[in-house]
Amino acid sequence: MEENSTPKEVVQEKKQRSLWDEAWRRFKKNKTAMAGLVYLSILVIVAITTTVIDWVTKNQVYKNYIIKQDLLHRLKGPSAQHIFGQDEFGRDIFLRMLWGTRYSLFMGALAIIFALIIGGFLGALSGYYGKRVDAIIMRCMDILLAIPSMLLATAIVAALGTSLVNVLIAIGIAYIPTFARTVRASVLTVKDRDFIEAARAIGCDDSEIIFKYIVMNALAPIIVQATLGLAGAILSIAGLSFLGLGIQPPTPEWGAMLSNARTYIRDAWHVTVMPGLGIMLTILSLNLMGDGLRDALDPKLKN
Amino acid sequence: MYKFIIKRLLQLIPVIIGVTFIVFFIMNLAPGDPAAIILGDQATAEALAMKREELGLNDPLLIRYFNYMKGLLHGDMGTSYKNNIPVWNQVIDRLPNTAILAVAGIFIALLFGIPIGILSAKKQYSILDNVSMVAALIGVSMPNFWSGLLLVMLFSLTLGWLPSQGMGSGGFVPLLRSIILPSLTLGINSMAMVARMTRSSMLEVIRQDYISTAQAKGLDDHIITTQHMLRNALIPIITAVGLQFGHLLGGAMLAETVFSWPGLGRLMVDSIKSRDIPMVLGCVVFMATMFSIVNLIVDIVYAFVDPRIKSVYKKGN
Amino acid sequence: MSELLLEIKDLSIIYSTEDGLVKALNNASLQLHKGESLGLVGETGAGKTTLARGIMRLIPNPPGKIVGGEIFYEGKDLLKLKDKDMRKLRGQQISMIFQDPMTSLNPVMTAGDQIREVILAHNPGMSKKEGRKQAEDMLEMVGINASRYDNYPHQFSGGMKQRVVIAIALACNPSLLIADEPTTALDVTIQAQVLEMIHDLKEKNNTAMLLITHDLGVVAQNCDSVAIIYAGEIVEYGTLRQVYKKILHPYTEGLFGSVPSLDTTSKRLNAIDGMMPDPTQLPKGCKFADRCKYAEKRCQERNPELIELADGHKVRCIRYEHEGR
Repeated sequence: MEENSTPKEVVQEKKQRSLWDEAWRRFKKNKTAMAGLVYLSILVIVAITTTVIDWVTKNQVYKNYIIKQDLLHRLKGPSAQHIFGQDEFGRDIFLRMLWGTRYSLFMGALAIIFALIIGGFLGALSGYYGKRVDAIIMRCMDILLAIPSMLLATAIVAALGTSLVNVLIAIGIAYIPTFARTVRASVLTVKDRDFIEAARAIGCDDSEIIFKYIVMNALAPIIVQATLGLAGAILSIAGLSFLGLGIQPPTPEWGAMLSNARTYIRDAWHVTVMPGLGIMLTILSLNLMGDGLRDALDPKLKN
Repeated sequence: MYKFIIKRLLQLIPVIIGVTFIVFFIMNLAPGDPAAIILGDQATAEALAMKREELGLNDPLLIRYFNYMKGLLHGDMGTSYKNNIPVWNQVIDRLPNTAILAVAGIFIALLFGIPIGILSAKKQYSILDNVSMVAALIGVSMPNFWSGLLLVMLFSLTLGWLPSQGMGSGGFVPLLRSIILPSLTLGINSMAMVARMTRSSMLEVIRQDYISTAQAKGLDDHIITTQHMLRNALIPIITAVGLQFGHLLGGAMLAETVFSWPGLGRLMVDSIKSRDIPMVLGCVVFMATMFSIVNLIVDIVYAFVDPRIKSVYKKGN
Repeated sequence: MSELLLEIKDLSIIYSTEDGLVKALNNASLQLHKGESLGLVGETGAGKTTLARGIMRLIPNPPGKIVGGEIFYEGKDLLKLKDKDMRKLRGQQISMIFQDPMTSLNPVMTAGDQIREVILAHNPGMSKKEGRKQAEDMLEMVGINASRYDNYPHQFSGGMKQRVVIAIALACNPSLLIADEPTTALDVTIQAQVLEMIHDLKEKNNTAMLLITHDLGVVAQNCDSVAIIYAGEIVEYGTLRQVYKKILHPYTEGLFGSVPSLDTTSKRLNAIDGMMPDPTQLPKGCKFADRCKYAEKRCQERNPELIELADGHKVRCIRYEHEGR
């Protein structure tokens, strides 16, 4: 008898755990996704640490190690002292990459948050009110989507000039339609469910319903989209910097480092390989995490 | 079917108007007085005023946009600030080079991406599946300007097989040799994306009841794969490829810069650096229009593959 | 009785899932004679579809696998056939109709082509034109105008789709038709029509049928014998008359209790209490003991054998073990 009763209890317990616990449990089981998460956490720590170091030392470290030139040791390959080697001005590539982490991560994240707030707001309005509002907003989004995002970002930077803020805005705007669509789709799927009716019946007003119920329920696809969007945004930032339209040297942004490296491609492989590897691993870890999140949050989609 | 195509063509018009307006508006935010850029620092105030009037810069934005579009219909996109050559001519010169590159990129993506995806799906969880999906994930994650540089290092500098710069002229072979690396660079991301997409789409289809029906008919495996699985799996893949084309056009700027490929993307980057606004505007308008047209083609192909869409349209009209 | 067509002996099928090993079918044995109809009755998840797919050797692998038993079709063990030879049998000798007509047809292929495909596959050398003609005949036979050959599945109603599916299944005049709940997804009025059509076509061609259903009424109208399946095991098996006249197994009793009837006065249906056991953790004793009103202590201890009573009626219940032959 004992044996027979256990499975039922397990089932009961499973039901009691919330959706998020369940998702986290599935995510933890996914080794590659966890690897992505760990790598990304390390990057975040690096980005914060280097920022704090700059702040505490009043940029002394930055001036003396990150942008200070050492022309005697130009393009020296990897060694015990400089594990990723030295660049065309003799600077340590590994240190520069550590210091460059913040541009990719923080700027990418800011751009995505910007896109998420505006796109999410538009998408929620569109999905919730439907009809005219929906038609107008979504047509605008369609038009924005009709311009390839990298092209749109480049055009905006071309017009506004290449400052940090402009790059951020440019990439943010390019991602607005993606989030508007995601949020709208989620809103449409939850809008007519019973609990929304119930909320309306107990007298919640529109804004309360939108944010408390619909947005909370739309969170899963948004998280997935944001993770994958962040990967795209980091690529775009690096791409713009590579073209010389983003973050300018001597700032150690990874794409900008690659842009300089091009000139020395015949002389030193490490100058090209290392920064690119940094970008690739970051994007890879985000993609792994995004895939893992999608599987964890929407088990139906899992193969 | 003709009706469908015409309807989609008509729908393209507002999109193109919207796209050009947004781009026109963005480029108008550019600081600096075009008249001053054209005439240089030594120009007198009267000369500047005259030039401004001549360029129509004193009109409101909407009027200027309207005039621009009127010009566009006649193949007039203004003249370049840099060399005074009409923008239209320069853009049209470069357009085929970018188109060739993009088509070659898509071709590579489909040629390798679809078969890899099919094999992976049919041998789900096998070593082949795992290896190709890891490779695809890395492929999706590689910045294309970096993979371009790596390809140059390997095939041009180390092995010396293929040229690293420029577009080969004087016959098919030089062109082919010069296009391999840039199109591969451009196609890698899309190839990986298509492979992943094909795999997941195939896996979705494999579990459908109609595949069981097809198996129960006693059909050969390859017929089931091509006639029943792939034809259904293709529908989402086509959509993905259409979107990939947009990435490809964005990526073209990077790939063309790496390989000094004389396309629209590089023209645009150069023009941005020299603040040649009409030229940038021209490039963006052309590329965005190209993307819209590709999307239109995708929609039409889509309707051919999926009979449901065709008949919805027939009923609706 | 006519010649033996299909004999399943001790067929066992498992699925390996994340939650553990599912024993979907355990030592199932069935017989089917030429032209005969056998109804396979049980609730969702009992292993009916697994059994049907097992005969076709269409268990999705992974996760499924046939782990034991034999399936003799006209004396040949299907499980030992080469893939190529098995393919020749499918669609030609043994056909299958799947549950849901809405999803059983390929949405991007015309209905006619889907019928022609099976004809051409089993008649090498036949021209496409000839194939089309035969497919059109098949359409007419299932009551669809041949002019609709070029229509796509979405242009048909559910009942018509199922007719197309039936046309596919019968296009090559199979000796055995496996119909997996062919009418469950259809409207009640259409159900009767479709069943009647299957019945007529089957009579005409002397096709044997394995009819999978959870509807005892359907079985009564269409079948010669019945097998009741519960949690992957056959619990009662006999001719229609045997089973319907003298219910032996408590589960069967429960099934009949949940059928509404006009001539009894009970106010409510007697549903069977409880649920089927978790297939990853089947009890070691009788699978039905937990829900059985006659359950005794010994039921938990040992799984009873399927025993044959004097008249050939088979049952898997400890209460009849002393009566067995």
